[in-house]
Amino acid sequence: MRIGIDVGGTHTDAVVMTGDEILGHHKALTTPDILGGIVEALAEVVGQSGCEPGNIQSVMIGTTQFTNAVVARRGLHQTLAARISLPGGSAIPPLSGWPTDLAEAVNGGNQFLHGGLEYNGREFCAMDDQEIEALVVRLRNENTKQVAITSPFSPLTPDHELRLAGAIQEAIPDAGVTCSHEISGLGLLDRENAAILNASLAPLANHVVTALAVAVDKAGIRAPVFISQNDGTLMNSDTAKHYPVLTFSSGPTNSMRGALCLSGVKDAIVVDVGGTTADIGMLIDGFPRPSGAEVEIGGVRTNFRMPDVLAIGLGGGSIVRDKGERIGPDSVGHELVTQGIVFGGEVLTATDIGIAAGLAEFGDPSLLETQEPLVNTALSTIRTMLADAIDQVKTSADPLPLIVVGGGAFLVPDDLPGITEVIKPANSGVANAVGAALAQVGGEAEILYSRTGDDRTGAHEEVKQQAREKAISMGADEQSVQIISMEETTLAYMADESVRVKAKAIGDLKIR
Amino acid sequence: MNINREHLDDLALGTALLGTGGGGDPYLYKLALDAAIAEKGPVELVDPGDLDDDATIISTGGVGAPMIASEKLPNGMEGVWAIRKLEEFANMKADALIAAEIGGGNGLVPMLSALHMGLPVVDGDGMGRAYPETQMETFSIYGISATPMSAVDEFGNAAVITTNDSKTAERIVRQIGLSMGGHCMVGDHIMTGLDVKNYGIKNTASLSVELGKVVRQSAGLNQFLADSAPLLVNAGYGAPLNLFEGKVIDVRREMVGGYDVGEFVISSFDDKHQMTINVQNEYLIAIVDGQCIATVPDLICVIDRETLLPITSERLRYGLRIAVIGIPTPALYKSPEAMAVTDPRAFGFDIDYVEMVTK
Repeated sequence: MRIGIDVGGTHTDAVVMTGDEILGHHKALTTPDILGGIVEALAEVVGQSGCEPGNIQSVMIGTTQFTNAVVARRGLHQTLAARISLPGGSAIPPLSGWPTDLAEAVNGGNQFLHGGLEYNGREFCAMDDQEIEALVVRLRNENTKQVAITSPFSPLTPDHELRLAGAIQEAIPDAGVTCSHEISGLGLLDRENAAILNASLAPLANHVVTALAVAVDKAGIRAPVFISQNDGTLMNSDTAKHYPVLTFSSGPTNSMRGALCLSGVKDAIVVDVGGTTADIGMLIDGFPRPSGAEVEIGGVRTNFRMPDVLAIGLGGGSIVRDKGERIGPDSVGHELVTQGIVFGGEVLTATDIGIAAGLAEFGDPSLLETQEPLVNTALSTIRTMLADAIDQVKTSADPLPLIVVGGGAFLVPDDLPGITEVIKPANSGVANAVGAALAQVGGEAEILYSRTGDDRTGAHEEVKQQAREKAISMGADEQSVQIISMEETTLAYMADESVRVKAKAIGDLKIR
Repeated sequence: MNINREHLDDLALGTALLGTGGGGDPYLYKLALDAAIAEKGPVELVDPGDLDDDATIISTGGVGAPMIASEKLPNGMEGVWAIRKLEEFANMKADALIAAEIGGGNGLVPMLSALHMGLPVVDGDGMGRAYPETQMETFSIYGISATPMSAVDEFGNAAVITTNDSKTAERIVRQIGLSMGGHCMVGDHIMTGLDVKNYGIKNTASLSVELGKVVRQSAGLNQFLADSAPLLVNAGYGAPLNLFEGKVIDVRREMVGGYDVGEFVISSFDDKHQMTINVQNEYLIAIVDGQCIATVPDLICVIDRETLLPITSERLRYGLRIAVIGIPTPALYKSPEAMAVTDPRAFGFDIDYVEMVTK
């Protein structure tokens, strides 16, 4: 048996599952200490399922706490950014392009050092022992504990980052060091941004993840705790303490993975209709399609693999205007239960339209005085908004099924252009927690090779093996590990035709 | 005009537009320039018309793979050293720098070098857009030797090459860049103020700032076309044409000879017409329903139909709703000698140049 928990800004949802079957589910309010909400949700679902806490094999948790911390600029620690790139790089120092308030919240200074490797692993410049020692002295003098280390091509050859990290940890055992190669791929500035955010979040992550473990322990559960990350796979709780940035986009990812589980459909468009927005993404072979563009978090450019999600202003609380011609993007949000007309309020919302049309039953429909033309116009507006957004999200003209989850699922019509079938699974309100419960573990690797000089098959085998090993080291059952994507890009402008090849492996979590 | 920090977002948008899909993302050089201007003050732009006829001007830019440039960030002096090396070799002093190409990040490179050297930057460039190779610069086309050409890395390691023609210089400098880790900064085309007046594409830096502002401020496509037209015409281009609007329905890409070669298909919103765009790093040829309606050397630009933001070729993907904008090339690219190195046949297509038409 597994437990899935989704710790959101407003609600903490929990489910108990065996295989694909839901034995219990509950929505609690998220408490300021995190702990209380989880304790309540856990007690409720374990009770519902009737199972012994001792029979729970693992607990999977998705959380938006760290994304929220960056967005709200709270709980962040001052971090020193060390970049090993001299004699290059100094024209674009760390924190370039950051919003001023966020930069101030994390800025613990920066330090350039000589060193770095080329794309082919050749040493670009040797490191300098005296510079390393001087940095250690500076960290001691300034009492800086959080450090982010970045070096060119470190995702391909991490040697220089590792050497500096080792020296700092040996001299200052309680330093929190993030090496950029551990969390993100090529594109130095974006990777450094992510490393700095990660180092500044690590103390908060330690606090939150510890609280999660305490809550699980209080519920009498003696099972390992896993945290879901951006791509829908899991990391163990120790890893989550060290790499909080890897959880940044787990919310939409879990909702899509949950939709997959609840519907059993692996290739589909998924729409998650909440109170303010409808988030539309695409599942390809059971995984959310990643975004192609740079992803900004709290105004900072990063190069994470995140799901490509299109958010449109259509949710249960969206305000209806112009005789139904216009809906949203503004919403009454969580005040729907006081402001919506069926709840005795005075704002005409998408939910009121749905109830007038008989799509859902709650509130008091007798309070509605909406005329039929307005309702029909509004329904048609909703239909157009969804159809346009779905069309934009699709990667080919071929029709696909649509899976609908979230509290506003009733607003989605039963047929839409380019859609083979509209699926509205049961328990769709806790899709995020279900997605967390059913996550797998994965590993990614990428290398560069020369099309003219190197052996292509050998390069492919090497990168696949690296990805497999990463997945296994993250806890995947070796037998179940498979390569799910290979992506090859020849670098433009390069005379020797360097080719970048990326592999991703996933597998089922080994359950003890 | 001078380039201040508040111009940089617009400058980066405008150079991305004139990059016609290529030229690289100007984001990193925008950040470098922002830091340099904060320290040293604005970049002085000099109008080509204000240059002394016998002033010495050098063109400059980066050569290499964008992926390498995204890892090996500049120290800001590479371009300076490239110019100094050339000055030393040719025993002269530059009075001003000029961009080899205004399109993409290379439109910003000379500004960073010039700030460090205390020099002005000519408000213009040698392409008026982005092209993949040196011999496609107007300066080369109209008889100015691309060499001596310097190539420098972040250590100050340098090579100076002299060749009999620009195309050979292009081939050799690419190999040098590779041995420097995949990227180098280049100085070339030592020329006079009169040469720039005669053969430069003029006022393209200030044009980029103005175009960026129009992109940012336009309420929609029609306003963008109307407001950018006088700017482009004034700078010697033709008025922009709305060639096509629709949704990208097919993307094919492959790598041939170190270039991104591909074909994109866009369907009109009523599904009645299709446009195909052929790409070699830059957007080269546009065909609607079997009829070629736009080709190099005219500029074919792809923008997001809603946000109006320029979309580079590597970012183009299925489902994007785009507008394809044609901008007739400045007159310097309409001569027989310019056509010989920049028309569709120069890129290996069995297609003749056609005057841009709307369909």
